[in-house]
Amino acid sequence: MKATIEKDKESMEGRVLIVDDELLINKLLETRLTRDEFKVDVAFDGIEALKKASSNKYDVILTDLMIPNIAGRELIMELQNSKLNSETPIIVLSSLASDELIVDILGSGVKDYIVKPFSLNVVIAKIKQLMLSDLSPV
Amino acid sequence: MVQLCDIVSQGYPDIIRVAAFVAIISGIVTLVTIGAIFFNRILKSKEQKVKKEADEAILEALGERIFIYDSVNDISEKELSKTLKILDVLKNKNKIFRKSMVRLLVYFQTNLTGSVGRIMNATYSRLKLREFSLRKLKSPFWFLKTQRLTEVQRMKDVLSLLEVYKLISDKNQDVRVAAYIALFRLRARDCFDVMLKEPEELSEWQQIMLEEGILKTLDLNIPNFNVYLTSQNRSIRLLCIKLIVDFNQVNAILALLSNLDKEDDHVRLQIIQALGILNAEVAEPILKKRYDLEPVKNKAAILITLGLIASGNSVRFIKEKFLKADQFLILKSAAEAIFSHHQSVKDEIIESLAEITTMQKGVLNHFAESPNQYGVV
Repeated sequence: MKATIEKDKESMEGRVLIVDDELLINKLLETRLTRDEFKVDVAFDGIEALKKASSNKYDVILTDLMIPNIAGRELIMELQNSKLNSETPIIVLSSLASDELIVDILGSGVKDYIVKPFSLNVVIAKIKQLMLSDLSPV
Repeated sequence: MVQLCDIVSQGYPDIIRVAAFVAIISGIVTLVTIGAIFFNRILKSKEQKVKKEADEAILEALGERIFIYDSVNDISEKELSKTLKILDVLKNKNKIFRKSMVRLLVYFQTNLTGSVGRIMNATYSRLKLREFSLRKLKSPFWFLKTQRLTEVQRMKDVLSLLEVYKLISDKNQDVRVAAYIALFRLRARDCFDVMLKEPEELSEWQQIMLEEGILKTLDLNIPNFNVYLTSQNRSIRLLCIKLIVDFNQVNAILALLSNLDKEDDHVRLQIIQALGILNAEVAEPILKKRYDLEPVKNKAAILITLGLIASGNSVRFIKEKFLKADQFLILKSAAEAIFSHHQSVKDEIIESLAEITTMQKGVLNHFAESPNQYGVV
């Protein structure tokens, strides 16, 4: 499996924005994604995320719903209306697990909704899958 | 200060000497206190620095050696022992490093599923951190015991079950509650029976924690909670009523009804509300019969429950209570009950309500204007 990672490393080079107020979750995702040769930016709140998204184009944005300063849902809307990242696929990573909320969030154009506690490998696989589908010709 | 000392030692009047003595003592106490605060701050900031250093070092080691793997099988035994050796060195560096190691492993085990979560669990065991944590269970301080019990449930440490069982008879109730939750989380065989041994009343908060512990444990063997309605502990009975509702145990309806005669006002209120959520049609005649015996709060709950059941058998009863209500709570609850019925039944009731007061009209309008909130189709 380590070989798979090596192979992925060669083919995968993208920029990911992680938005979460939990330092350890950010560190964990950042470490793993950096190891897989992604460029990773981390934001601890909504304002910081919007600031980063206004100056960088991301391939995937991974965000929590409960973040300081701007509510997650509002952040998603802002990102979808932004200049650089309106087309960027967004994955929500949240501990909120109500069916209604998940359906609602997925209906707002979010690509995926992952409930915490989560599998690190599944998150990485989903990011890679989204990037590959983004690269494939339409 | 020297002058004050002179006053104490020389031949001044006693009152002045006592005042000087008190001034000297308070001066010394102030200096010692300031010194202690200062020393504590230095110690705390040093500790914070070491903690940060420990977190960074451990995170780096975990990131370099564990987070990169997709599966436990991907790590060779040689690599694993090397990783454990590195983590072991970090763990043994000092107490703060060890605490950080436990905190981080527990954190990642709680927040991660899949193989990385399993690796975290295995690392916790292989580093023998369990043994360190076990000491906490024997600590005289209740908060250390509850801390360890939280670790046990989060690390799914079934090996500590014996120690957990010992704590269900601890003197401190918070420790006992944490032990019950740990037993639920570890899916111990008789985890529900131990609750029956609880000698004290559980607070609302403790009941919520136990309820959460049960609800959030997957694959827990859920018993029929009506069995526990006979408990001598009132708070256990209250908890069981909530759990009967949570797990929609309709087979407990008869047991709940038979308890109506034995319980106090508050427990009866919980039973009445539970019967409504469980849609207990069989309870309707009993509740109507009890109506006049109950306090206002319970009367209101009976009306809402009859509305939730909405069988159509209590329409006249609800209408009568609405028209004769001399208390706002009863009027509001009867209106809510009317609006819980199906549209056609609801319309029929409202049409039949001739000559109603402005207040009654106002309450009905309130419910008519917010139909969705009350589940009206």
